[in-house]
Amino acid sequence: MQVAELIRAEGLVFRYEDTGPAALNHLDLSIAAGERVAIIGPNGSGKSTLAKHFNALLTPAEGRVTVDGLDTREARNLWEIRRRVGMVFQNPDNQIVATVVEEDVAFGPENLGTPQAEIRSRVDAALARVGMSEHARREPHLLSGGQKQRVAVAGVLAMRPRCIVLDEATSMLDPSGRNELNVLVSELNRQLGLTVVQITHHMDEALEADRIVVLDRGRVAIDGPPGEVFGLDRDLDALGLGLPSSVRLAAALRRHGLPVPPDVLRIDELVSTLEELRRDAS
Amino acid sequence: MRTVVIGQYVVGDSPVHRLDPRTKIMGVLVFMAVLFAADRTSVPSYLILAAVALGGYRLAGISFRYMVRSIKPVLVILFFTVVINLFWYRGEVVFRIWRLAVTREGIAMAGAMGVRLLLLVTTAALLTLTTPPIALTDGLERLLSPWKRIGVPAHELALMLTIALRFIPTLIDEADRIMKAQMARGADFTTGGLVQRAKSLLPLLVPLFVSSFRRADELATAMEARCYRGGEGRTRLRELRYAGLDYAAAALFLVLTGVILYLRFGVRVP
Amino acid sequence: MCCGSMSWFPRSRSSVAMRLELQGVGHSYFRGAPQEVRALDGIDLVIEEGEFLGVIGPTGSGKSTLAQCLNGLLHPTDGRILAGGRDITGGDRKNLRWLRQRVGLVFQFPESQLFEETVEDDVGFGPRNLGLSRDETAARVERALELVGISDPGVARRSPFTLSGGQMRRVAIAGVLALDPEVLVLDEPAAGLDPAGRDEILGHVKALHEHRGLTVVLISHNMEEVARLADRLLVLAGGRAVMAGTPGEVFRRGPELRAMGLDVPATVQVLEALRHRGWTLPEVLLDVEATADAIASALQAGRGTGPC
Repeated sequence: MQVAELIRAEGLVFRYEDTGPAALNHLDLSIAAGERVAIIGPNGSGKSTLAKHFNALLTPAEGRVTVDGLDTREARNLWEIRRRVGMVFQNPDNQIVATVVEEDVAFGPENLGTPQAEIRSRVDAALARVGMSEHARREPHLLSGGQKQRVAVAGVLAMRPRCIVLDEATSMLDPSGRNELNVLVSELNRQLGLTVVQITHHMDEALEADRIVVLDRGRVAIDGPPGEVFGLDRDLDALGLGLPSSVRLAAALRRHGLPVPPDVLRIDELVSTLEELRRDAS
Repeated sequence: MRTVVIGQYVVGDSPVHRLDPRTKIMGVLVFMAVLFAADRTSVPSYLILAAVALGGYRLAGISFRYMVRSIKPVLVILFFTVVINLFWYRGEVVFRIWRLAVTREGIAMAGAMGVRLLLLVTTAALLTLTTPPIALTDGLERLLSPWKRIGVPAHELALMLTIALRFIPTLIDEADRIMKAQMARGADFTTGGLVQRAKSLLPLLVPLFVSSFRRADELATAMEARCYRGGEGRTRLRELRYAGLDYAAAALFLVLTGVILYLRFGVRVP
Repeated sequence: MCCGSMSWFPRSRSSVAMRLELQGVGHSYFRGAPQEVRALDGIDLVIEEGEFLGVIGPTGSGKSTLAQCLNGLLHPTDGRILAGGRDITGGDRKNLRWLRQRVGLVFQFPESQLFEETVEDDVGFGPRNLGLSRDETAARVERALELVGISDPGVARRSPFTLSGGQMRRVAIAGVLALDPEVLVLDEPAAGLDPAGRDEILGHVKALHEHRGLTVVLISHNMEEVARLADRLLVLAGGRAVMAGTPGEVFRRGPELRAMGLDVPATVQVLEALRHRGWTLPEVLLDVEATADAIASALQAGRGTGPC
């Protein structure tokens, strides 16, 4: 069965200054509908820059980016692209516009000219989806960082997107906030079939993705499932990227001669594998 | 750990709360106009106006404590207004204190000015006490909309106001944090003369400004990402609609205006 | 008239041991008001000179409040705080001056405090407030910048706002180090940084502790981080100190930590899960190699003993 391609970048080149260095250097990438992709890479590798091309906040200097078949450089496609690809940013505060949570979630649909009755149902549904219904009439500054990010996600969901891009959205959150958001994102991907692109430097988040794209100096350096990508620890080291501790532990166990399969990456998987080994041995 | 609430809105479900914000805004403006149009020497006029104001609070179910509190910021102005009118107004002298003469006209003027100020402030407070900020900005936007044709940026003004209100508590928190960080480095915001204290604010104001500009930039990007493209074609979650209550309130104000003007000018209608 | 800053005395290394002692310390915000919040309650704590204390706890557990009490920014509503033998609870101005020179506090996202036109001016803000001479200030600035790994004099003359996020943070930390404190309190110094940036900052913190003998209080959410660096941990929850001890001792109590919304390093989680299934393994190991070793050995020896 052919899975539809949602986002495609071909020979993408981008410079912040006309004569400056290329932040994105002939980058090729294809993201299929329904995928959960993590994009990682050292500082300056172009992760955020790339993300902003997915919703036409930036357009290519050379090459092409298409979203659901729409070329990002065509001005008439702009708003439709931004409706289909929503974005949640790093700073939880600097994306909330209104004085009341539900008014902020309504901001997107309002901009789209959605009929009034429908705005109400979309807002309620979005807030329910992110688990913030009881906070609908609260003022945003009273929320925790994690709650604010969930409101931001609701704001995007209310626009009925096909894809949601999280640009380091968990960077400024504490562990419980980060966890909440990741669980939510997982649900959106699995239950709603929403395409998810997560720009992150938290390796344990990348572990949850179906596919990891590693950027290096504006190009794709590695692209594959977590098992494959995290198996190349020397390459990742060279890029200044750490490995999740569970992955390092699996690697260390392998070095001690234990037959731990390469796709065993998470703590629960590791424990089960070790238990099996013990049973086999006895 | 902030308990700053945006605006002074007191939650409630009274008739005053339920009025369309436009009605309330226009009502306050009409009240102020009538307040100044009233005959200065007519005690009944001021009694009626005061009754309306007090009645408003009663109907809104808001304790008079709030009414009193709203006067605090203008106590100084009130004091000076009364004093200046009392002692420096020319007219028929009633009695003297030292070299200062208190005239009959002075007493009337001081009383009138004082009452005007009090009613002005308390009525304006009633507006913010019964109307959440979001409704106020919506109301303002709708009221200014007809003037879009002559270039009044109604939508933009309302949005700016909303965003400002949204960020006030956030900025207060940030200012607090920055102040503490600078104090940890030995900064002193309390000692010294006026000039010195102004200079010592630099370590607080510069970071605040810098971060505010960055905030504005990020916010604008986020708004564009959610398809914001100006006020054209925007719908609203909540549409303001006049109800029977608003017409009743309008009628009330009409009657009030008529009464006050009658007391001032005698028989009006030819 | 003098420059308006308090007339601080330049400090020489004090002969008094800079030990911090908290006795029954509590703090309530908005005391007496309906919104009263009990941020700290009954804290008894001794921070010895030269130790590395990690403070962990969920959001709202009082970590920031505690940090601000340590350098006199907040005066606890209950209890006593002694610093180097002096009672600093009351907030006496002279004591505060003395304290601010000795206990440096680095807030979360400290780069937001930068304001001067050049990096060296900003780092020099603290020394100038102390009333130090131009030469002494310059010397302190240079030393502080070196301590955070900024040795290029060109950077020192640039505007701090032209630097990268990571550099700005290091400049902000240098600004606190320029006070030449004996105790350094850091609130999430690596927050928001990528792994390379985290390692760099924490490396500097570790060096400050080991080579300069600074007492360090590190507030962090990152369990692996505190486990690696701290000699001792303090766990706060709801304003109270609920656990204290070495990382090994604290992480032994995994289930309790998890109930508070905190986590435990990955190695400890694996060991705990295996022990739960009957394996004979040490309770807490923080090093990946050592953990792998222990597990491999357990598999070899007696094939993972346990009731059968």
